[in-house]
Amino acid sequence: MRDDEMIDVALDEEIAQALSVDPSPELVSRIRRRVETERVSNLWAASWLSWTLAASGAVVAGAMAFAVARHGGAAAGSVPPLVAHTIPYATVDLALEVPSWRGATVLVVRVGGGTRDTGLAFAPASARPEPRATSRAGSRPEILVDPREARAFRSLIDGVRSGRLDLTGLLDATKPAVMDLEPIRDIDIAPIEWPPLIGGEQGVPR
Amino acid sequence: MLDDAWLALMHEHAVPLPVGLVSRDSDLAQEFEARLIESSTLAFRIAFAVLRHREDAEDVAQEAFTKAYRHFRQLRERDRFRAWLVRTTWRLAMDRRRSDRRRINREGASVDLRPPEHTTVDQIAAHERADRLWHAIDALPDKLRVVVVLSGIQGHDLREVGALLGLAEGTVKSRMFAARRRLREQLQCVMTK
Repeated sequence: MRDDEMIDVALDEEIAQALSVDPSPELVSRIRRRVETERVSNLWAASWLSWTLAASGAVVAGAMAFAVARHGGAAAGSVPPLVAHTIPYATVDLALEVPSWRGATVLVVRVGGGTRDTGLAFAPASARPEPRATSRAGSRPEILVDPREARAFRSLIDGVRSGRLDLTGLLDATKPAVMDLEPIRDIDIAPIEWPPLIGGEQGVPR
Repeated sequence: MLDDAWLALMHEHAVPLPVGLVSRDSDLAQEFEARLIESSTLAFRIAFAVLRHREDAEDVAQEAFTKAYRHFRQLRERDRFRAWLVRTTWRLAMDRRRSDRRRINREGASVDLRPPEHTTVDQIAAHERADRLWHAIDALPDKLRVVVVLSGIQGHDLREVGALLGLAEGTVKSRMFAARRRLREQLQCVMTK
């Protein structure tokens, strides 16, 4: 047992002596340089990261501002526009039977028809056309119809149907006006004189 | 009036902030410098105990301190730093030794363990003694070897070794006992000379 203790003490001394190796004097300065290099690279990485984050934030903010502006513009555009909007090209003939000074007359209201034409036509009751609506969207260009114009026509038609509107005056205004013509006077036409040929035979040049 | 009060409030809070940040960074740098001066030899000796090569041991110590710098905000406490440094250096040195062995085996070379030329008989005997001692230490299991190495560095007692390894003092004591018994068995003939 005593020998073991002595051996242990000797072992500890041997191990301590074997491990009593000192590093080179430059070790600390080399560690300092390496740590400084590490710190600088970390700073670069941090600066790049911060720049990247800032750029990403700017892009996101710009996109949000653009989206907000666009949404605001869309909201402002929700007010009914002053200009007309498009509807599919269509021709609609509406036949209305209205009293007139010649008995039953059919008032035909034609909307569309290839151009932006809207008008009134008259036809005898026997020639009453069947109401039709022909959609030719796609084959012809679209036309623009102002919604206010369409509303006006609807109210006109409803008013005529319900009798609130009297179109007699309008129909009277369409009668051809009688105009007094000037009496036809005689036209004096002076006689045409043709001078005789001079010289010899006819057709021979002089 | 409101603007003046607001500016005064901003000034009151804004001025100390950079100073505090700078002083905190400066404190960190000073603390790391203190740990570096205090523990560089410890890290080197741990690496040397595994590698027994000066340059390699210094490289490992550098690498360990570089890692420690990256995590220094969490390692500001002295005991915590030293324990972390010991374990990291040991692990790095073991990794390096394994890779060196693989390289040596791959290249078919062998480590030159011959004593330097032009030495006296005593020097040769001391070299052989140290060689057998290291051979015996290398033959120990890792958990016994690290206890032996740490107790042989800078006169650490069992409590300090336990603190460095995160072990109870009794555990360190039993491991030390087992390690010494194995070393005695292998080195008895040398130590009794």
